[in-house]
Amino acid sequence: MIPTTNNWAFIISAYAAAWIAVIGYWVFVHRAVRRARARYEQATASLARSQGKSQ
Amino acid sequence: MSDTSHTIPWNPPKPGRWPWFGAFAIALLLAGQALGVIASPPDRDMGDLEKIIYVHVPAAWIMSVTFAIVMYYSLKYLWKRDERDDLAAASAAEVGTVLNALTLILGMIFAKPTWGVWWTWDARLTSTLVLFLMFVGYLSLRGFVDDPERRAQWSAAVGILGAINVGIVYMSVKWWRTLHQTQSSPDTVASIYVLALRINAFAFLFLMIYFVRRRYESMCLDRAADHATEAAALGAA
Repeated sequence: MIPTTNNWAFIISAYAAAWIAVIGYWVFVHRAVRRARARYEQATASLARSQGKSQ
Repeated sequence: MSDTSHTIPWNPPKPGRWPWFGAFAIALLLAGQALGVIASPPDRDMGDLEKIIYVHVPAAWIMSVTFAIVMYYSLKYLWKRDERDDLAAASAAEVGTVLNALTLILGMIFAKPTWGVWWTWDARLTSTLVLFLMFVGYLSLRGFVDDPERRAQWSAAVGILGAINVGIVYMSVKWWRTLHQTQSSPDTVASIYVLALRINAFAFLFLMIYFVRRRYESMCLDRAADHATEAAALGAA
């Protein structure tokens, strides 16, 4: 016999938690990549300038 | 721009086609969850609650795979001393910690209607919590230690210890009398639920691979920026 208790609040909460984790971490990772790439480009440009001066 | 490659020991990875891979993983997750929620019939014992297995079980499985990656790259770092291995281990550790937290939260949501409590100090739950705390410690340690070499060595040691704990989590339901059921696999669930469970497991696996790869990319870029900044400072001095 299949239980008749309505547990949809728990099911919806579980799927919501999974999507919040996936989308939240997705946004975090994309921001981290964008920030790191900007930092890297700035650092390499500054390094290239300093090497240009020393030559 | 002049050539800076001789001052940065390696080139950071490029995004390539990884964003498309991520989009595919999300699409597969949507399809798998739709199949699980809409198409799978209620279970004889749990009723509709069985639909939670399509998120809880894949999150737990892929968490274990992610910590195995931490162990692999930690050992590789200790063997080869290549800082990119340390960054790969750290990327996997961060993603594994997110999956670990998700597994615990989903487990609590599952526990309340099935066991009547949100939390109990059952062996599986406790060992999963200990695993989570170990990797929170791992990530905190990386924030505290400034010297990259020392940080990598200590992280590798903690990463290996943490990953060993995955074996304890896995075996906990056999070693101790627990409330949690024994290990889940496609053999332990009715065949009607296997397809949705497999699709969701692959979706979580692909998402994990995508996250680890992109996080690795960002960590490599950050580290390469550090190398370039140090080289520029030495050049200016």
